[in-house]
Amino acid sequence: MGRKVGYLDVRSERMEKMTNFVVDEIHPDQSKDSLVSPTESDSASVPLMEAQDLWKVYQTPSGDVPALKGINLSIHAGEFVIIVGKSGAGKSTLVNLLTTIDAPTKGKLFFCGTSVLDLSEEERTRWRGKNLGIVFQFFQLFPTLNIWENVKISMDLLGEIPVPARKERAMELLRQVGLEDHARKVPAKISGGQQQRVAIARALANDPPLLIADEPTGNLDSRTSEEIMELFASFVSRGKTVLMVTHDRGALKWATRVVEILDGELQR
Amino acid sequence: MMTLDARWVKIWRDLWGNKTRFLLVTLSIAVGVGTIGMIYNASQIIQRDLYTQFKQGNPAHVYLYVSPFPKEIAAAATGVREVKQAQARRIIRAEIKSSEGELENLNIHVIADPSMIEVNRFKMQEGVFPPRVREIILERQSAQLLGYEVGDKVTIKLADDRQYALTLSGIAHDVNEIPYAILGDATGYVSMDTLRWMGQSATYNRLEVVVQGEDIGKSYALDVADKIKKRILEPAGYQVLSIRIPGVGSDPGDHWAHNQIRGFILILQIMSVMATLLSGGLIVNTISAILIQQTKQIGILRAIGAARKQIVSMYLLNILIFSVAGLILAIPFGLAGSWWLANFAAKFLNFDVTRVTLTWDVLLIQVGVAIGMPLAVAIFPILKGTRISVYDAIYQYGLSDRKRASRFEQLLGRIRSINPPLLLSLRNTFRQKSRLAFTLGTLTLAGAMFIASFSTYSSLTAQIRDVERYVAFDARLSLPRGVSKVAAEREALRIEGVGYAEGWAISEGVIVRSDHSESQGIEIVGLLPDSKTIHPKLIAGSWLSAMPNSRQVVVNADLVMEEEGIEVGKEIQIKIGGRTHTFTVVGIVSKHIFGPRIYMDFTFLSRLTGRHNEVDEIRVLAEVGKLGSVATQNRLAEKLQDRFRNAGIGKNNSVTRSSFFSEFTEIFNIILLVLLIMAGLLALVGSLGLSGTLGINIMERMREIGVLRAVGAANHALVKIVLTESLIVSFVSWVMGAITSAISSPILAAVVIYAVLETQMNFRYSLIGLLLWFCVILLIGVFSSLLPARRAALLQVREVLDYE
Repeated sequence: MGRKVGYLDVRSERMEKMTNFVVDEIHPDQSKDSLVSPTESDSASVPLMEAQDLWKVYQTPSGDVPALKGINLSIHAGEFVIIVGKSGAGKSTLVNLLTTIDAPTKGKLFFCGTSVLDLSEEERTRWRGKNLGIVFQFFQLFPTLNIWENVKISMDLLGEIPVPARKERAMELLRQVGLEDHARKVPAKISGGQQQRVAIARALANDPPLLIADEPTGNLDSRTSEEIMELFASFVSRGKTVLMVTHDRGALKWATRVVEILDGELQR
Repeated sequence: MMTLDARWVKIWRDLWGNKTRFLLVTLSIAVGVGTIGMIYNASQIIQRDLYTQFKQGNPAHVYLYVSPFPKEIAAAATGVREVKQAQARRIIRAEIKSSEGELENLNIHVIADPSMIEVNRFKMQEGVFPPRVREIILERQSAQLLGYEVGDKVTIKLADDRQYALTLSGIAHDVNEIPYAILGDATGYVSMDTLRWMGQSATYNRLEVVVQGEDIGKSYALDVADKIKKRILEPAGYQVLSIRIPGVGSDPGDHWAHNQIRGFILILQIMSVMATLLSGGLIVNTISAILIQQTKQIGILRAIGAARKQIVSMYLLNILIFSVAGLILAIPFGLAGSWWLANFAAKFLNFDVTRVTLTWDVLLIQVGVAIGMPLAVAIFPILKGTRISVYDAIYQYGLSDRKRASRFEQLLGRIRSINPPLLLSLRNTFRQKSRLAFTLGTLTLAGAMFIASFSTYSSLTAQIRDVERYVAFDARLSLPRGVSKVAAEREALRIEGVGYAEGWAISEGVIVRSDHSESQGIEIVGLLPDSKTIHPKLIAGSWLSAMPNSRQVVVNADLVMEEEGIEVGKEIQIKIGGRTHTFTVVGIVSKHIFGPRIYMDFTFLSRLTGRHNEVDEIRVLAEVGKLGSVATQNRLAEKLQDRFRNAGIGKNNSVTRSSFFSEFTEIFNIILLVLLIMAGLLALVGSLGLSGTLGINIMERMREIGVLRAVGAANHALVKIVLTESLIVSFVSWVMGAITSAISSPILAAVVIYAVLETQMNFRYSLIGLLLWFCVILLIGVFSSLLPARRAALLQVREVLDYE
């Protein structure tokens, strides 16, 4: 729950190129997958992701510390939700819970109406690979792989994109983020902003419906940050859903909805 | 276009990105697997080229040394039901002049029917057999070391001092005889016609018997020989002087060095197993280090959808690459090593290596070990390392454990007097117990092995010192029959520099057991009870008394081990010169290396053998009660030899005390070297393991280090923390190694010494080894910490404090 900010339809030269991009014709075979995946009919009525009464309490020698207190949050398809708050507010903790990287102390998490926390660890991992694209603050690319291999590895792990199509898809994603000319470089040879673009391309590799980004611009300068935000907005305009946490209030202009978090609680 | 799965590309690039580590692990697998291949292959070569050839020669199971007999006796012996084959041979002790004019010992063999050698067959390498009149064939090693070729004239000198010039007409290869290089006796073959030409009788003195059946035991072979003696020889009036099983403690029908070869191969097999275990240890350490280094990457892989089994398979591939690379190196290394080892053995044992091939069974063993062992040991750290939660992998990497402090850490926390850096080192050392246990285990094993090696050497040298008591002369000369004690000692005392001379009578007898069976021939020494060239170490009873004509005997522990029922105070029956006498055992002395021996009063032995006051060897000292230096020994030996030759008394070469033991010393030094190499390998891997552990610890605590640096810790403070941690581990491993060596040392010493020398030793723990290891382990601690400490010192605050 939070305040809704007006959606800004930012168009740029890059976005012109993206909108001309032919939507890839390869779709994962959802009939093989028993895990939760969104369908068109879901988007209207059921939130894409819903957190109910999520708590995260850390046990320390000096006592229990609640990092998150009763979080209730719904994300609908097509939204660009930004969660903003100061350091220590609980943003990253919330992201970790929503991505199931961490487990809540109590509460529920639903994706398209199905409880994700009821899945086994391996089922959750597969669900995450299929339905979430995660973008980390510090990029987290694999240093010994070049950037197209970094994008491709997601597809190799999930195994849903046919093998012959993977490299081409990886190159196409790099084209989308403007890095096709650097495809054979390793991460150490490109800038921080470029690395974050690669991370975004990787997050999109398996065509997940929801992108979750944890402080994606936290390590970047303002100009590069703007470019990254443009990218996110472009994906939203193409039907993706983006959830982002940040402490940078300058990013709020890109959101369709802003939620504030303070001391582990979402502010109304 | 099809491309390789990015997972496999990642694993390959991660591996190849650290070439030093890749090479180290690959080499360690190659050494372990290659050594296994080397040992197995070499064993097969020895089995094929030595043992098979030896067996094909139809080796005798037992020898009977008999008073001169005609060749027909052999046919008669074949009539005994248990005898498969019997052959008559004449062995004559002589001397041969080398190409440089030196007289060397020579055993001349004359075979009854040279056209049909049935027992102890050998092959001709050059020339034909049998030699004609005035011709001689030399065994190939004898010919080589004496410096002769076919066609050369050689000079032979018999016991009667007459010399004969014979033509070298052939070179034989005889695997039945102990090689010249080892025994010091050359071997030659002449015909009976040549023997007659040299004025010798056409008789034989050794009956070589092959017994019916397979896997003949010593006692059975001796029983059969006893039957031949009682049914054939003695009724025909021939005296059996001694009965022996051929070889050096080997079983009837086995190659003379069978037990020694088996022992050496056992030591090498232990080496190969150790090396393989070490490589397994290094693999565990390496894969643990890789997993720690890549903890965050593992977390990211899980975050983007990698199943645990996918990650496990990635790291198993990592190991498989190491294995295959190690195997590729191991196969040629093993082949080359087996070629070298087999040729080394061939040179020593006088056989030919026909070919070196890799057999399927050896290849399968190598493949199995190279692939199976690393996977088997690595699976555990891989499963453990991939079990980490995504959250911990991504966010807790570099921070210390969030769990509650262990009891040890709580205890440390209460001790206020420890300064913080030391406290940090202590805590860090004992934080990851399984990793610490592994590193400690390797270093403890290295320490135990190191100390055990020195203890084995100490035990060996202590045994030599014990044996030296019985070889307490400066020089010794064997004498021909008929030399009186008085004459020998007088002649010896005339030599300048000789302060004391003493003659010993040497005979042979057999123990007659209660069931009337007889033992093998046992050396009997007749000496004066107050002999100055022996300092017997009594382990029971007392030494011979000065009572004349006493029926007292003192036996050595070697005899007690071989014959049951020998105790101080008990009577034993000894047959000497065909007659059985009863003696009382008054004492038992310590083990000798050279087998069972009985000591008795010289005068009494003379009477029993009928050789009144005759001696068989003269032993001299420069100074009574003091053993001379090597130079003194050599000088006395030369003078002794020359004096007796000039006097027409002794013809043989003299022996010094130091030369008596030099062969053993060489063998012991080789054994120590082999053991120390093993210990060194263990120490090296332990050191690498320690270095790896320290490196891993630093990686895990990078943020701690960052915080330390942020609050002002200088480089030397960080280095000190790492070094202290390393030295703590080293010291603890030294203590554990010392404790473990109390068990490992006697075991290793017993195994090695029994394997090589076929005797049980008195164990000596080496304090020198313990102290040396302390110095070595400290050095290991210092050097192992250098790289990790440097790494810690180079870490920048910003680099390590990248937390989210």
